Amino acid sequence: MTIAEFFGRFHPLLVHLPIGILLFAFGLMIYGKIRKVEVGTAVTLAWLTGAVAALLSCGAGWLLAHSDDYEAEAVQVHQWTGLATTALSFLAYAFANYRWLLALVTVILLTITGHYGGNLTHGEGYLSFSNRSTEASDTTAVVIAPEVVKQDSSVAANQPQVRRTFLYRDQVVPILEKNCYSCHSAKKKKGGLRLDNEALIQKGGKNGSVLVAGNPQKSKLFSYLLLPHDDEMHMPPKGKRQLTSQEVAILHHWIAKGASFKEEVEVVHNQVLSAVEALPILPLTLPNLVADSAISLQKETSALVSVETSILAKPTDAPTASTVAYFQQQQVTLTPVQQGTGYVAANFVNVKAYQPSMLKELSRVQGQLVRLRLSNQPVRDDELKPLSALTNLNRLNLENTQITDAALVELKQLPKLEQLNLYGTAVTDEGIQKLATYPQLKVVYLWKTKVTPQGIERLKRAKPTLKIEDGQQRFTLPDTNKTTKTQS
Amino acid sequence: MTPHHDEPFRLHTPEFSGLNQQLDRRDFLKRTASGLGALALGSLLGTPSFGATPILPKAKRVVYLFMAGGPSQFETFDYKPKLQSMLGAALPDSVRKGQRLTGMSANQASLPIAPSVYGFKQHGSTRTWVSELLPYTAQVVDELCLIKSVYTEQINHDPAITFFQTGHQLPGRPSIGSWVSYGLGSENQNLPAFIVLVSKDASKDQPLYARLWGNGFLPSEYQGVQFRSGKDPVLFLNNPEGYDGTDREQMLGYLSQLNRLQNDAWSDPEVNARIAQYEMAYRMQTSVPEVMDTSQEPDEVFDLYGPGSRDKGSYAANCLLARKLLEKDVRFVQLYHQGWDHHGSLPKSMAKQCKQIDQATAGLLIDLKRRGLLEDTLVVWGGEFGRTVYSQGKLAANDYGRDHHPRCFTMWMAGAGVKSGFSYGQTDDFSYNIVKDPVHVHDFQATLLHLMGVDHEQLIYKYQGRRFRLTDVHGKLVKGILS
Repeated sequence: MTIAEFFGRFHPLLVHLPIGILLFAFGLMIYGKIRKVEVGTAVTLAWLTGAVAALLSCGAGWLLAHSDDYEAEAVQVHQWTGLATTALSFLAYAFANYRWLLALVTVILLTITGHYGGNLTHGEGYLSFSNRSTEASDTTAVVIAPEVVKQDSSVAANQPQVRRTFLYRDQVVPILEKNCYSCHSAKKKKGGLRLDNEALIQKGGKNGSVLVAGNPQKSKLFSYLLLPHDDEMHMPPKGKRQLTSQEVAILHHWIAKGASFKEEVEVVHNQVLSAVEALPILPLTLPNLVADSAISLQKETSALVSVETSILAKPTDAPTASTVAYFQQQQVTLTPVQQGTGYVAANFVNVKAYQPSMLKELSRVQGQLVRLRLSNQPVRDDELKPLSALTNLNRLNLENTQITDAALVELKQLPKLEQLNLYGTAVTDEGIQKLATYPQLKVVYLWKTKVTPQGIERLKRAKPTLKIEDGQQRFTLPDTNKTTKTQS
Repeated sequence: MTPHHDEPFRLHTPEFSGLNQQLDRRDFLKRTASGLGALALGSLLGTPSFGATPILPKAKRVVYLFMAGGPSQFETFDYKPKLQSMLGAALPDSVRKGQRLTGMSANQASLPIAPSVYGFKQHGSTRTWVSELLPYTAQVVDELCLIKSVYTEQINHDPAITFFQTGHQLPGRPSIGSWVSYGLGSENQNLPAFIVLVSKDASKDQPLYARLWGNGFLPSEYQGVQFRSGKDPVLFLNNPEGYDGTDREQMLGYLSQLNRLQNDAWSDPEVNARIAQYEMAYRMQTSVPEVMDTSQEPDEVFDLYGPGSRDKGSYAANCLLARKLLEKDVRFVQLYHQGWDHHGSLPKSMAKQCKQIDQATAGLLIDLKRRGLLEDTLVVWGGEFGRTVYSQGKLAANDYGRDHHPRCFTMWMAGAGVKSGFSYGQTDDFSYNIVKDPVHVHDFQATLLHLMGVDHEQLIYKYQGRRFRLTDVHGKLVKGILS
């Protein structure tokens, strides 16, 4: 950054001085008129101060406009109205006789200048009412919706069908528009980067390309989104609206698929494209995509690594006060998973008289329950049915309960379950093989069960990514004279 | 009464001011008393959070194994092979750089370098160097996150241990466990959130005092409660002789009514603390004997923790007890093991000390792991400072002592939220100065709070006209060790 740029960046700060002072001067004139008090000297001084402040911000603005970040045309109107405002405010100071007229024009010009300046900083349409309320579309799973060219509805199932997707136009552009254009488009091109059309995205910014088709990790357009929030390079910068995990996932998907700017046409053979099946629902488990990014990304990305994080990223309402009170009365401790979130963990550690009905009541928090601890309670298989409605359940503690293999069939329904504690239960080799079909399961505890090493071996083969804690680690007794080797 | 006593709690963040308006004070107390901590409440009522990004807590519980006296890093984890050839050589001034020494060795004619008499070997898949004095810990080294570059500002026991526990060298501030219990509350309504266990088998060369687990200026229900090994694990908890306790509940009901009347008149938080403590004590009459009873544990568990674990009150038995408390979701368990202050005949005493703690510590890790508790429990091991590379007193081939050394020493963490099989920080060849990634005591404290989901700059208590934090005005999160 050059010195000129440095001072230029004070412009957004400085402009508030003339705005405030000039409005104050005008207000003071009105006040004096209405209350019939003598304000002449104060008004003169205020006009002078305001005019000088306006001059200073013009100077800073000039420097800012000549940095690379702005398009010259976009700045034009703002620049000339700004200069006019400054000139008029000096006149209003100098010619006390015409002050009322001059003041009125100055204030009008000031407002116009401010508006154009605001557009430059925050992006066009910042003040308009429309287009802004479309944000409420954070759905659970993102459907990258390809248009299925509907053929005759009676078409036989085996006929090839055509599937069209235009990811760039339909999914990517709206994200860029919403999150990036305010700094990276025609009006303003921070870091020399514009994202408002294909050629410019390909071109990249001052520091080179931002998009490597097929490789999201190498594409800054994606990887910068994953940097820790306090990282200087994190995008969007601190304080701006952040991308939702779905939006991040869409960008990843698009880049990974080759970052095409065209419509894709695909012929699908031998497949029934029913309305539902036609839409490949992205498994929006950020973790999947971040897990591999994390390796290549030098910087820490742990904030995004678990399914849990992606659950928490989606806002939810907190349980109502009456729900909290209900569980309290049942001795079930309900705590938020983290500060400021509506997602909760339920803990049965205080429960003295467990009733199966208590599990049914968990439906009161069915979308919000992320962790459930039923440890040491006499829970039986058939009582677990209500659990399958807990769509966001991520960790489940069933250790030392009375469940058996049958429970593992039931729990298969949980789409987000990552950790399952089964130690001290009667599950067997046969039963645990079902764990291989759990979509997200990462860790399972099997100490003190009827499971044998052979059963674990089988499960490992079926689901190699699963971490299995069998509790078999034993010490080798140390020889008092020599140090021992570890077993692991 | 000063007006701040009327504020229900003092986490001065916008989300709480909203909460303050929603609830009157009585309402708030009723809810917190039933186990929801201050943070818990704020978010349960759906008040949106502003400002700092909320931290996802990795650790729900902490067990802090405090090695009081300052264990030597040379005979445990900080392997310094180059010293072997320097036996008896004077510590170069270029290394010491005029560092102050304690009165115990400042007047020594020379400062002869004393290499460790104990050997080191590499262990685990990470090939981490561990002393032969810790053969069991060596077997779980893949679980540990060693921090070899901790440093403190204090050179004597009392200020150093107080500094570690409270963030300040002078007595009077709340202990870490009290801060955590104040900030997060407890999920278990029948046991205190902060429980302290002191080894009876350690040599008591330096004293411990109850203020180390005291609540300082926080309301007194947040103080650490010491569980003892004798007939009365918690003093004054049992019914007095000749009283059967049948009308205890009724009695407490009346008492709390009286206390509430008092409270309406005075609004002193200590009255509420008293109400909460009476109620807690009543519940503990059944919960404590239950949790202290290890007779149901199978032999295999005692074998895991080692021979000492059958001897109630020993370090090993306390480790086993700690596991039971953590299983019950007690928020913060702190063990103290004294006897690490080896100014003389260090090799002999060190061997004895290490033997007392080695197997039980490793056993605790294994036990937590197989029960699934290690994933959300943070285990911390360490003393208040390290020891010098030079011998205090006469240096013989197999006998030496080491003085206090605040400028670098080793601690470790394991479990929730920290990298496993990882070493952080580095000391010079004399383990005298830190050459890479220093971790100040306040940094350690900030990191511990972060792992529990608390921003150390937000957990504030206003007292005597100023705002207090565990980390005072310091503390940087040690990002390098977070998993």
